Amino acid sequence: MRIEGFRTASAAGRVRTEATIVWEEADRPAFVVFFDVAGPSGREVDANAFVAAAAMPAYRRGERRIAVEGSVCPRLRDGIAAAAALLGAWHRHPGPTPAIEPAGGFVPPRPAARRRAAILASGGIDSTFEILRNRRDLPVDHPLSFREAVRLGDFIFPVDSSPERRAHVEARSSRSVWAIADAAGLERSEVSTNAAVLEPEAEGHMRWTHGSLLAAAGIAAGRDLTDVTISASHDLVQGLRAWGSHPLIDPNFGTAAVAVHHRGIESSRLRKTAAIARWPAALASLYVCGQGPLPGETANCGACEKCVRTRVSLLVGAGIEEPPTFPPGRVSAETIDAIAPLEGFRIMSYYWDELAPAARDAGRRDLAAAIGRLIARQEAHDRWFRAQGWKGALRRTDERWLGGALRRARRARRPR
Amino acid sequence: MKIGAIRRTGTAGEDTIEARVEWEDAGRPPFDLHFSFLSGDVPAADPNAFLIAVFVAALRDGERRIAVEGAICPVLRDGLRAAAAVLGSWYGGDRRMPALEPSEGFRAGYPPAAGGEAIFLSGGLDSLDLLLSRGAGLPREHPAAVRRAIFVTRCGLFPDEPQLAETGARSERAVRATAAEAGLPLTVVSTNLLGLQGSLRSFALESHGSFFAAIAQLLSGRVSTVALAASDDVMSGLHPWGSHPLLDPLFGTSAVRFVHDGIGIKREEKAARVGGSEPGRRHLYTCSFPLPGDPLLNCGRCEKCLRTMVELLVAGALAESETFPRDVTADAIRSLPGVPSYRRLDYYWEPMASGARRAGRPDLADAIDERLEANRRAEEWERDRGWTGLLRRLDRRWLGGRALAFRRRIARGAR
Repeated sequence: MRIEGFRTASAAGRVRTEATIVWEEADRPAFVVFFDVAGPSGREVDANAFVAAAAMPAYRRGERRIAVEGSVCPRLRDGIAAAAALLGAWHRHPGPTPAIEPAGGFVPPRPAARRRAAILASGGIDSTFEILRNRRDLPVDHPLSFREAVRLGDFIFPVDSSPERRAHVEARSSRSVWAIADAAGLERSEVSTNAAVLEPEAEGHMRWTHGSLLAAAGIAAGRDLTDVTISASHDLVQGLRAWGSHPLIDPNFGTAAVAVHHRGIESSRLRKTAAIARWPAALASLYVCGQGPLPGETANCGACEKCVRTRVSLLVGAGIEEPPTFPPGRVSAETIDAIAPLEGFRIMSYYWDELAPAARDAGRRDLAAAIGRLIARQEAHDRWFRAQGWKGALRRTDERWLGGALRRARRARRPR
Repeated sequence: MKIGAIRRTGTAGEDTIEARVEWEDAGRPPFDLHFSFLSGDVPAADPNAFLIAVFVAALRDGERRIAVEGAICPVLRDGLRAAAAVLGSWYGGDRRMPALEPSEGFRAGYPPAAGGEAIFLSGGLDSLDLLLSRGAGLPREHPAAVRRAIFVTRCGLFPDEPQLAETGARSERAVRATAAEAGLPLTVVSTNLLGLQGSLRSFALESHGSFFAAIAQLLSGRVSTVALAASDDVMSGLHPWGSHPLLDPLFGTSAVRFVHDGIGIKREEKAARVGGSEPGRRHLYTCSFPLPGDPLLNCGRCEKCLRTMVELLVAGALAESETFPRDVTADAIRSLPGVPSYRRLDYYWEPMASGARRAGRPDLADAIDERLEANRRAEEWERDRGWTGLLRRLDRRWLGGRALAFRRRIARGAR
């Protein structure tokens, strides 16, 4: 792989840095990756962000080197080797780590004279909990007290979502993130990038590049930042999974100027949700839903798996029956029964296991029973998905030889 | 458990921080835990250090709370909760997170404005490689550059054994020379902490990351990050171990980040980098059983010496070493002394057989294979020791394992 042709342009308070990614081993077309930065620290993005974003896709696709214009931090080089080794071991990918070949050599970037911490914020449970905790535990003059909320714009799967969907999701996400940032006294910062296209399938992204892409956005967010926090999406209560964002992965994508922290593994999602429920400003802006476009002004559809899970968590963890950013109405056993099985890499029981006992403890045996049915239904679906027979053979053929094109076409026919 | 009477004592050139540790549930006698800086610098009287130091033992021995005199960092509080979950998932048992009760509440400490890093040096392969990679990766004037080395000279287990005194003296000599040549001030620490934590086995499996993290915390106010070299790497496989990339960072605070570094570097890469370096050639020290009066730093006969020698040989660096005998014989490997099972002889030695073949020493590769096979047999035998072992052996031999299968069926039925 080569990363070349760096160019920068500024307009309307945003700085865009682009570079062309040229694949040398993988049969993929050259591609222009951009980082578009707006906010107090926004400046030209250096090569480290591009290398952090491209390294795992390059490794996964068998690239032998990453030749890059400019210099690369030696700590990032070593971190990439460690992350590739870990992800390779987890996903049984035996290939060698691409050699990093910076034209300007390995030069550690200098950190800002004063430490400045930021959080990558999505408006969802994990990052909002980290903001809450940071504000609760650290005095505002502490170097690790968050100063900025960095929102990752254009971060949407499938990467070829319709412009309508993209615009709607962006609007809801930014409204939520900025409201929470304002409530917490954080400056707003935004990084938009199309680097997700380097690993365009949601599954590949979640398993391989989730953490490195977030870290790249953190590096890109500005040269004044010294500490960037990525919120844990998994926890030790349910068990950590081999995942693209992980406490063993994310910190590897830091540099000598920007440390990347992965925080929140000790708290379950239910516990985080219950904590957020006691922060009215966050509750009033909570955004967890990637569906869209949605009718009206609602932030969340209220019916997808993640929405229902969050509503159940708010109900059994904090007694909130009608959370403000969801459509009116109470969550019921029927709502849970209506959840469609998850496909592919998401594990329903991972997310729902802790909710059944919590529902029982909250006196909602009906919800606990519905959760039991949901998990059983998912297991039956998984067995069916792995099944023998012509449908199983077709699915396997599609995944192996057509890269899941039939599955995507079928999904595209469904109403969103 | 109560941690109290945190106080500073000491004489000229030896500053000590002490605390009294009292068990409440484990039925163990009180313990006066101390950390002494023997190098002229002064340890921070930081309650977080004592909490980190005792945490794994308190968790393992079932203490329901840890009451600490002073304030505790909220980042550490959350990290310890995660550490309890990690250790519980690895080793099971009744590990319940003790309640943390600091007398002055939870309060975040501040890192120094001019941060800088410190690294632990032991004289061995891992820490020397850390010095060469992390230490040399950044120019000295860089704000995040390594500015200090830390060496632990006594740790409180078997303090009167002359063998350990000899080991400590030699490793200190090696580390002092290494740090001086690298231009790093050296903090030399003596502690009795290992006496509190129990056996070498539990130190290795559960607590040695926290042991070093506690000492790192004593440098709060002077450094913002302390790095410890990884002993295991991803390519050979990570497994539950007292110092681990998942566990060690959890013992950091808002003032001192604790980093576990080097999991992406294979031992053979470390051997090549260290063996080819000046400090590696002149100061590498790994020996568990040094011979008094021996002009060579390392005995060349203990397991750790032989392992390192083969690694250096494969890297083409043994012939240049000034601290080891310059060759290894197959007989020495065949008569390699046994190590406790938790030390996992095969983890380190198995990859070396192919390396030795590549280096044109099939005699050593064959000897490694033979020694590992003997080790496997010994471990199997050990697992079958005692009267239960006798029964298992009789069952296997005369009943074809039917008794064991029957017992398992009964157990399944009972569940």
